[in-house]
Amino acid sequence: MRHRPHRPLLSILIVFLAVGWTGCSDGASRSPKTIAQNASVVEDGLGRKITISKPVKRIVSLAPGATEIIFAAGGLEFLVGVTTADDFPDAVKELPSFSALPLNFESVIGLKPDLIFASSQVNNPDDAHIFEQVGIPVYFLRSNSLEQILSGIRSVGSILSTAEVAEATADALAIRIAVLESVVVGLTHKPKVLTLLSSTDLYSFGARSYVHDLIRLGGGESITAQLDQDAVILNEEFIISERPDVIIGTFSAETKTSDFLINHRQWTNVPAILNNRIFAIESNLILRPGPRNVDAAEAILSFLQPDLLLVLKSDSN
Amino acid sequence: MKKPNTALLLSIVAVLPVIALAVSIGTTNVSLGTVVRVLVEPFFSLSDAVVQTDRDIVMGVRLPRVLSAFFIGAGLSIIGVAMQALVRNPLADPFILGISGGASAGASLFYLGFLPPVLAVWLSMPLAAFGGALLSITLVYLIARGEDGLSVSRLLLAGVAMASLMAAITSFITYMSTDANQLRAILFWLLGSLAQNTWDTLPLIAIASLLGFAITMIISGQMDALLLGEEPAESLGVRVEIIKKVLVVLAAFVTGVMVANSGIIGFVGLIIPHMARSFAGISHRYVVPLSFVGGGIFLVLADLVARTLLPGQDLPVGIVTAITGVPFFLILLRKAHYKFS
Repeated sequence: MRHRPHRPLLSILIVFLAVGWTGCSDGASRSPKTIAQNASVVEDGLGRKITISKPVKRIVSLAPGATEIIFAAGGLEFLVGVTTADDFPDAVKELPSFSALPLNFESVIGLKPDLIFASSQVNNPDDAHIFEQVGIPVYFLRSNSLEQILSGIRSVGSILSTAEVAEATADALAIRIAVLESVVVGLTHKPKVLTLLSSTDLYSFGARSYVHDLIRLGGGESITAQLDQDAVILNEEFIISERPDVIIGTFSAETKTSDFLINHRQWTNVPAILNNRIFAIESNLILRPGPRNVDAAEAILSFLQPDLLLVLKSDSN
Repeated sequence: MKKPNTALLLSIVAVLPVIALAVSIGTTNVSLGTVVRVLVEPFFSLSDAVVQTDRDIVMGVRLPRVLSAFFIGAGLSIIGVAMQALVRNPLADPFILGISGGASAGASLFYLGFLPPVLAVWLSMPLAAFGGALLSITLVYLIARGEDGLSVSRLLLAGVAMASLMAAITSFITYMSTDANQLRAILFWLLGSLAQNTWDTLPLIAIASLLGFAITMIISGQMDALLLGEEPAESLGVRVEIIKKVLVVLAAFVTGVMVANSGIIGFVGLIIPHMARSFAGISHRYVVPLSFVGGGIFLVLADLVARTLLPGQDLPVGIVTAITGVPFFLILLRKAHYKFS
């Protein structure tokens, strides 16, 4: 190793600077001493180790799904900024907002957060480096399954010291999921479901998406679950040969079978088109990984197995 | 001495087997026997009926797509030949002179609702693309034309600049659009795709492609003369200015139709004419038909890869043409020794 004679000098300089800095600040914000005392190292959804100094008072969310998870974990009061795409819960519309794609780094840093929450589905892990260079840790929430979404809620609760709310919300969601599991477990006929983003193109969800969980809990079988990519563009042949019984998507509620046939003329014999089994679902329920995904699963159950939904409702009464 | 006739004959003989191969392979397993039965079904009465799903896949999806791929590849390749003759530069292809860029800017303006539909959607998009292509290349042409006639170097420079401008316009429109559905559609289209081609879109593509072939065949002698330079061509009795105008309008029309139906598929117009010349020499009487057939075969095969590489999914074919075509082109460039002009 190279010998560095000036190293002791550098250390002294750093100590001086640090002490000087503490002296200048009012002592309430990040002083090196308090960081050392209250810092805890946690592992985020991507397995990155990040150091968080508690208590966390100001947080920013870089994705609407992350915002909903923070809300579910009881952390709404700590939010000081969200993206321009955020609209749930209503209260976040009043918060300062910044563009997410491309990410406006300056605005986010200007909000002076103690911690930033990001979504592995939307945000680029490299973005974290820029924030970490100015001393703001970034916690990535992973959401490839409903289970990961629930554990995300619990983790956020523990970081923000709102564990009580977070655990209660996550438990309530877990119960609703368990109820859905129990009603669909005995199903002998599970319709084959194709999930699409629109009636014109063929963007869908591949392996490692929580969307397949939602279809399964709704009493169906997702035909794209085996495709080995996250965001897939399907080919026409695949749909004709897979013959989905139902198409669920984030197209408008007025979409009819004839709208599909304009762009996909060969689907005349696809069962979903033949039997007019096309269901629109509110895009924010299904496209944002978060607590409202359970609402989406229940909505899907009402499309696919309306009889079971009645059972579900009479049970809960 | 090359044997242009042999190469041409071989490539023509290869067309049917290649199309048959492409129609019989896909995401779904349809046996060769079934494919043949589906194809001959309309002409003969068959004892055992074909499953409707197989009929939908072969007749409804694969055949129109494969035929479109053939005519689009052939058309792009022909325009490559025409542009290379026009600017007497082997670098030229439909991308140069801003033709493709103008077409895509026109088409994306239409797609995002800035231009009104005319008659029918399937006609409006090609019209918008043709309009964009024609506007773009006309501007380039006017800028490049001086007192001394059309300057090739000015044409190339203005073309490259115009291509950048048109690409920026397309990017700006796309970037400013807030409708996620339109954005996804346009992204797929910008990367080049044959997935949207059906029996409806095929006639226009075939007509544009065959028209390009017929006209370049008719003026193949004049195009040969152009390679000698404009003054020598003029002295041989070629009406250079008229030929140049014909080539420019033809390129705008054919490229507009192709871009409207397949998005941006690069390198076909560059690679195929060079391959054709390495087999057949530089005489356009052979280069034009060989490029036509070769371009068609190349795009049919590239699209076959695009729709079968990932199970159940479509890959943008523009990626495949570049990845497979460019290394091949570089090897050819290293080996082939023909004089262009």
